[in-house]
Amino acid sequence: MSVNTARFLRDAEMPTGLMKAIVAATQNAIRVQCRRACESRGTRVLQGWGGIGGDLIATIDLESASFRGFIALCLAERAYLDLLNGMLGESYDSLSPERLDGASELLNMIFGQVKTTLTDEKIQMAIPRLLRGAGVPDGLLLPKPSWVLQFRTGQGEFQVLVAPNGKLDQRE
Amino acid sequence: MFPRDTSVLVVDDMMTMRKLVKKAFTSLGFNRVTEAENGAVAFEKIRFLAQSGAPIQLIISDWNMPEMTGIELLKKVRESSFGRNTPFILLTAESEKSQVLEALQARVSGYLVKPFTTDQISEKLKAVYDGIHKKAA
Repeated sequence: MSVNTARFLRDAEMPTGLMKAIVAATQNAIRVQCRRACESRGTRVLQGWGGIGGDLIATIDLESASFRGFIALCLAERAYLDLLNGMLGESYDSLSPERLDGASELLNMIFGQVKTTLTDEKIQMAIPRLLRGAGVPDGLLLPKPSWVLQFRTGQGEFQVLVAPNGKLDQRE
Repeated sequence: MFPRDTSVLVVDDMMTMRKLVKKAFTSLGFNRVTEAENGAVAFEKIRFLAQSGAPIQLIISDWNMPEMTGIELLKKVRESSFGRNTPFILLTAESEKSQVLEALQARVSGYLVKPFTTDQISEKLKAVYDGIHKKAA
């Protein structure tokens, strides 16, 4: 572990309660709505310019008294299709425009549950946005430490990103 | 329980959620389920069908939608002559006390927090139906 990484982790530790709430909410949403098992694979910190994985990204802008940022769900196509098929009882094998907003709805469910545990701050959630294909940016500009929570289902991995003061951006 | 030929309106800006809720109702045996993609479209549909003599008899609406939220739709329906007593269930990803209170004050019939199973929808429908018929008795 480099000195810089250690400083980020020491100075910008994600509250344990928040991390646990996100893990629990994600696993609950996947289990109940998608009828799939979902394993937590740990958390890592990102700061500065960060590459992001995923064919499909759902984001919700968040605002409270102490921060403005976003939360995102980043999925590969195969993992998302499996979750969508679980939600709808279908056997889709490709993405089309009318099949995309399930990602936004999943993120809505996840953070909706998390929000009820954040009793010390009133947080406004915007309506979710969806990015796909050419709309997925090269990476993220994260001026403050942000956290990537990694998950795995039977069809692949996905991430939940929590980014205070982060923004989605294109590298010039 | 609501009769299977109850005219149901599902309101949600997300196509996936409309499909999911409609499938749940179909699996419960309901055979007259229609959709609207936001509160404004829903209200016009409710008004039109009421005036046509085929009124919507049960509304299931998401809370957080553009143009007109579910709570705004609820209030507008309750103020109308044709929707004052129509059973109205709100679906939401959040369950903050202030939100629940606002919905109750607007005379919501029931409240369901996402994620939910088809069994939970069924239980909520039964509770709403029983609640209506206890009041009438």
